[in-house]
Formats: sequence, structure tokens, C-alpha cells
Amino acid sequence: MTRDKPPVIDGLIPTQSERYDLDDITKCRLLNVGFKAYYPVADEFDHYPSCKWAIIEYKSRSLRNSVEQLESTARQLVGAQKKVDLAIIVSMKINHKEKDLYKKRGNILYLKKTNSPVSIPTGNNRIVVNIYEPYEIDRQYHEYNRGLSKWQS
Amino acid sequence: MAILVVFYRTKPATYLETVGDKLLACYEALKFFHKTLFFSQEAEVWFSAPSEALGGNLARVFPAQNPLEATHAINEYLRSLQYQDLRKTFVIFRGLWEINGIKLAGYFSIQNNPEWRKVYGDLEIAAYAKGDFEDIVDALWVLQGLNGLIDKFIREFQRGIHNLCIGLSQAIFCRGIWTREDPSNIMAIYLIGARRSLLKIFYDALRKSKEPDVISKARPLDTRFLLDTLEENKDVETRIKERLKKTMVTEIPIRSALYIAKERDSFASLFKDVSNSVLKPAFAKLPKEDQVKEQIEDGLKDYRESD
Repeated sequence: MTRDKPPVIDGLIPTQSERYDLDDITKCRLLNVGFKAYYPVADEFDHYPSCKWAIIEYKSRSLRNSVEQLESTARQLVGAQKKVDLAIIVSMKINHKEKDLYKKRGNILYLKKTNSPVSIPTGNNRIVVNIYEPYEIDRQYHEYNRGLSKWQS
Repeated sequence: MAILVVFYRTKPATYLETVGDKLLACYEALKFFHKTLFFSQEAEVWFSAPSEALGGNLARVFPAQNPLEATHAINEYLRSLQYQDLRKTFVIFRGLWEINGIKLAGYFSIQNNPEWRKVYGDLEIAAYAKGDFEDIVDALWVLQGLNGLIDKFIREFQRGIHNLCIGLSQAIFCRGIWTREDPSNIMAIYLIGARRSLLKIFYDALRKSKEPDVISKARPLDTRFLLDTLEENKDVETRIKERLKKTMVTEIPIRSALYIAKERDSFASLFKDVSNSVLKPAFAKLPKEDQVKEQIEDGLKDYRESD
């Protein structure tokens, strides 16, 4: 699972110059956001040409950790007056133990107990957490490269 | 996931006492790493889940640069809660791991909520993924003298909790979430019952792997009987010893046993090797489920009512 491929959203992918690696202090400075050192931070903050901003956590090994990373990042970004439209986890298939807590319906992560989507509260909004497996992203890119997904949105 | 700790009850205790002792056990774990590898910043008590996105509510935040003071304050707070609320709580110490110059946000988290405890253990010690480090285990495994560190952690942790109503049942250092289906992501494991428990983990995984021959022979077999038989067998002892060496898994007997992998795939290799050299041969000559069923039916058919 690499960070080469952010998911295709509305038939579009972010341009390389508008992908902000949140592990990279220089990139964070460009965003003008001072992330607290001991608060979890997601991998990337990407701007899509459809004017959407997405926080992405790649290579998720624990859904709990990934959701906390997205939530904490979303709050810190929104607190710094940044727009956040999407929260995305790129993860392998949900493992047997975590299946007791979560389920995936379409590309939305759900809490099994309440049957409600995992969503991050930010002020008056809630950002629903999306989840993709690498093969789904590969498929998106296959379609994107054939020009198909551009007509799907 | 990273380090998952599971406790067992050592003496009768109320639920509140158990929750309090789990908090003290968490402090003992934190104390071991505090100011050498982990720098505690604040502690949180959550209800229902450990974050709002996951359906939880943040109840309290405590400063935790001094973990002992924070532990006392949290204990006081937990004591004020009703039983039904206490059962929903999570206590999380947040802070920063600093390992070989790498800084990772991380936490020590106690799950009192039974559903979450099943998945993440009684105590989870973790770091959030950053760059090449996907969790705390990745970062720890770059350290020199790792075996000594893990050994010392387990010993000191056991010493620290020996007066409590809980004892250490398992401590699993793994990449991602450890499941019974797949032991290949284990990097180190402390087990009560030593090799017997190791065999049990591999046997469970082999059964879950849906190997048809094993499944059909395992169903009529009592697991305890199988493990007792394997434990008593000298060949099994020799074979496991050889495989541990071959797969670069160190066995350290401390009350029970601690197994530490040198390489990422050591446990996967050990599982494969022990399955091939011990578990599968143990099943080779056993009758299949259908044959056992047939023999039961034959026995019943042969029975004649006495006059």
C-alpha cells in the first residue's frame, strides 16, 4: 500500500503540488497550521480540482488509530480556518477482530453496534469517514486512465 | 495496534477494584517508558468509545506530565461513577514517543468497555502511524538491545502489579491488530503457560485457516487433550526448540515465557514450521470426523438390551 495514489473523487485526482504531506514540516508550514506534537495527525491533506479538501490516512493497521488521526487532524485544520470536505482511510480488508466493531458499506465506514457511519464532528458539520482498499483505488485509477471516471460523476 | 495487554483476575474483587487496578497497572507500564521513551502529556476519560467520531463522549481531561498524580486524580473520578457508566469508560494517557530521534504521538489506553476490550485488549500501548513507522512496534524494533528491553519491561511490569487483583495473562507486540486467525504479525509475545499456550495459538490459527484435513479431524478432538499430549511428547519439545532457533525467535522463560522475533517474518515462519513439524503430523493418523461418527453409530448399533 503506497502513498502514490490518493483516491479518485468525482472523477478527479489532486495535483501533485496540492498534496500536503502532514509528516513534512515544510509542507505543514505552507498550510499555516501548527499541529500539536502529541496529537495524532493523518498522512495527507489534499486539494482536489473539484474544490474539495480531503484528509487521507494511508496504510492503516488499526481503524481506531486511523479514525483518531483523521478526527484530530480535521479539528486542528478546521480550528485553523481550513476547509475539510472528506476524511479517507486507505486500508487493507477490515480484520477479523475489528469486524466486531466496524463494517464497510460501499466506501463508508460504519459502527456495527449503532449501524451509523463513522463521522467527525467539526462545528455544525460532520465529515463522514470513507474507506478504500488498495484494489479499489487501483480500479479507480484504471478507469481514470481510460478516461471513464471523468464521465461518472 | 502495538502492544496489547490482557489481564486475568488473581483474586476476588469488585468491578470498581478491578477497574482501579487496571489503572494502576497502566501506570506501571507507563512508568517503565516514562521520560526515557514516552513523554506523557495529558490523560482523558471517555465514555462509550475513545473518540467522538467513533460515538464516544469526552468526560474529563487531566494534565499528565506527572503520571502518578494523574492516575490518582483519574482514580478519584472513576470512583464517583455509577457501575453502568464505569463499564463504558476508556482511560487514555496521551503523549509523545521519542525513539532514536523519531517523534511519534502515542497513547496508553485502558478499555473498560467489554466490546472494545475484546478487540484492543485491556491495555493498549500504541503510537500513531507516521512516515515509515506504522506503529510503535516498528519504532521499537529499530532499537539496539530490544530483547533486553522487552524482557525488562515484562519483569518490571509483573513486579509492579503483583499486589493487584489482576495478573498478566498475555502481552502481545504486533504489527496491526493481532487476530486468532493469523499469528504472522506478532513480533513478541508473553504467554502464561509457555509452549503449551504457543501451541494453542498456532493450533487455533491452523483451525481457522480452514485446512480441510485438520478441520475434519479436529472437531471430535478435545483441545486440552491434544495440547496435554503434545506437551508431554519429547519430540515436540525438540522440534519446537529447533524451530525457534531456525526462525530467529528468542524464548525467555520468565515465570511463563516470552518469545521475541528478530525479523518481521519470524513468527510467520515459526507458525508454518511448527504446523508442518508438530501439528499436522499429530493429526496425520487421526480418524476423520465421519469415521468417528460412524464408529459411534456402530457402537450404538452393537449394543443389545440385556434381558
